[in-house]
Amino acid sequence: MDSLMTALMMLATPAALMAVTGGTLFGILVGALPGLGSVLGITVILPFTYMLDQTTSIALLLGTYCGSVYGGSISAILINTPGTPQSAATVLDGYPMARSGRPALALGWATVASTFGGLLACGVLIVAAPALARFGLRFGPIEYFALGLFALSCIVSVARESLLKGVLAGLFGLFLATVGQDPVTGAMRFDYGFFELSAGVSLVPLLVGLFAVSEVLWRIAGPAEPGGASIMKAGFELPSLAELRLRFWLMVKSALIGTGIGTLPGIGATAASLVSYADAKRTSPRRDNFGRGEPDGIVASESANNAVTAGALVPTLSLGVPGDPVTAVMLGALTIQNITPGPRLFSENGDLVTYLFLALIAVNLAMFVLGALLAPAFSRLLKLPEPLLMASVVVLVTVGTYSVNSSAFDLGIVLVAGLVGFVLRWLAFPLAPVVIGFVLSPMIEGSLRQGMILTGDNIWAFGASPIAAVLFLLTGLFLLWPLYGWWRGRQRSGASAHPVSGD
Amino acid sequence: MKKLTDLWIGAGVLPIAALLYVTGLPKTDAMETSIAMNPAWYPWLLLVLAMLCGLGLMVSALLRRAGPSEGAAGITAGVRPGRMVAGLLAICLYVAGFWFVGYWVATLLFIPALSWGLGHRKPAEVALVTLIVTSLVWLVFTRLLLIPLRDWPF
Repeated sequence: MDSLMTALMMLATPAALMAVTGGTLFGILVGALPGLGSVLGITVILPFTYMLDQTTSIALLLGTYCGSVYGGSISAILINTPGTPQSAATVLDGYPMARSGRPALALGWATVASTFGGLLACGVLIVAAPALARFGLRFGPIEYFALGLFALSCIVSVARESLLKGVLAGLFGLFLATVGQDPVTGAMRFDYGFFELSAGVSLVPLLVGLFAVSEVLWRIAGPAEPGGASIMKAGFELPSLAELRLRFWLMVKSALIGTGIGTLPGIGATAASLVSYADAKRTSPRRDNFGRGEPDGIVASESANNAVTAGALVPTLSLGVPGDPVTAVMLGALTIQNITPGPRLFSENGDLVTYLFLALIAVNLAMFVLGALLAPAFSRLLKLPEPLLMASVVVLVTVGTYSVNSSAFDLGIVLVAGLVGFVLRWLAFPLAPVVIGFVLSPMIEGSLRQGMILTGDNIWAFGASPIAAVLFLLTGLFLLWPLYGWWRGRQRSGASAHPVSGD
Repeated sequence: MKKLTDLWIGAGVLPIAALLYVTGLPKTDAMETSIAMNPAWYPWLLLVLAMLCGLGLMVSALLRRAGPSEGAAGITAGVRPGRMVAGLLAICLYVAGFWFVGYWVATLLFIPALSWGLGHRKPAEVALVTLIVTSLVWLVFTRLLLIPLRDWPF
């Protein structure tokens, strides 16, 4: 109870409330503008957290994260283009509903479902995260090493183009984190005489370059996209109570799907919304109306994708293992603030964890209020020309990166990382494993080397821990499964190319 | 196309990883003692794994059968390298300008220049957005967060 009161007082400060509102507003804006997305939003906001205290930073990050996932639905409904990939399924019924003359109601459904999904997932987070953290207290270095590998393999295994490219991207992230002073012996690695690299590659310039600058370059030089759709004017209309009651259990089910998928590393909100949409389409009594502006479709997609935000925080907070690139950036930001996510966070920083839960609830409520008040205004912002938007992003990230250390070297890293990010995209490498690898590498290396000390340099002894053995097994399965699929595909195509004689 | 690209990527990973291993790691006595105390061991492991992946990419590219989907992936189609170079040059110039001539001059020139370069040529709109963004960013950083920017040439 004391913890709750302390957390409430932390949240009731003007700075924290401003951060909740400002972060959510910024997140909705970033989400609504097609192509920017949650990772870019969090990356742009990251330098600001250096100047702010713990509580304000947390509120700002959470606001940006949740707001951006919701914001994607605005452009999905009004211009038939999901602002973020997470809202891809919202387009299917959101835009037809808007086209049929009910854009205000479509925005209302998206806002209600997003808020409901986010709040329900907060409840699950509050119950599940401390329980998982208690379990995490049993983990030693060997188990953490296995967990780090497992989390990375989950991200890598969902690489769409090629598993090997996913693994290479993950290794690149792991490798980047080894630059600088070795934490055990103090020897320098890969610094090539640059004093600035002795402390390693900084998180902010790396992420800003890798995501924000490469995104700008991609917009400038990437494949040309079809011309912009017409933008619909819209107000905001809440669904009636009777309609809400009709879809209450669908909202609950979709939120639970989103929360469950969110807790699994690497799968993310896009998959959650698509799974939830597909499930609703299969089971809804109004399934025949799907694709023609059925509110069930918006509810299923938006409730699930916003539930992922809290779901992804479960492993991030309780085990210190991020579920997706956004939570990886948040993990880095929390570390900068001297907060180390993991099992001990709950016992050593109970007030802060309670504050985080409350801030997440506040962000979801702010999302509802801001969505209801400003969704029509956001539709006007969608008209902002892309060249001006890209130029503004460059200005913001340059100034933001400079403000952290006032360092020309950091600005150089931004440019190099921007170019590297662009080339990786061009060569169809996924960027998510790079950032997850970079964030997890210190934990993986530290726990691996501690484990080697414990086992007398015998890596095979790592398998003696039952938890680690299970995690190693799962890692192997995740990595080998795509190979099995490839082998099956070859078998099938071989069978069809060479039919058995006599058939 | 995809086959060739993956072959090149795989072939490129091998010498880069070898070069990093040779040039970037310390030579210490610890290497002969305990693995855990060896600062080079973990990066070495990562580089070896990267080389194996590079080899894997090459082998899979060679084994892959040419099919109707060939060329659809491997690299993202439709990328315009010339525009990328121009965009990167513009961003480099802005960063250099920010450092050497200060925030105001660099930003007031960069936003209209990039917009014009990308084909958005509505002077009034560009001027308005440039002024709003430049002033707003300056206000947020210098007045709200109390961080001095490089306001004027140094």
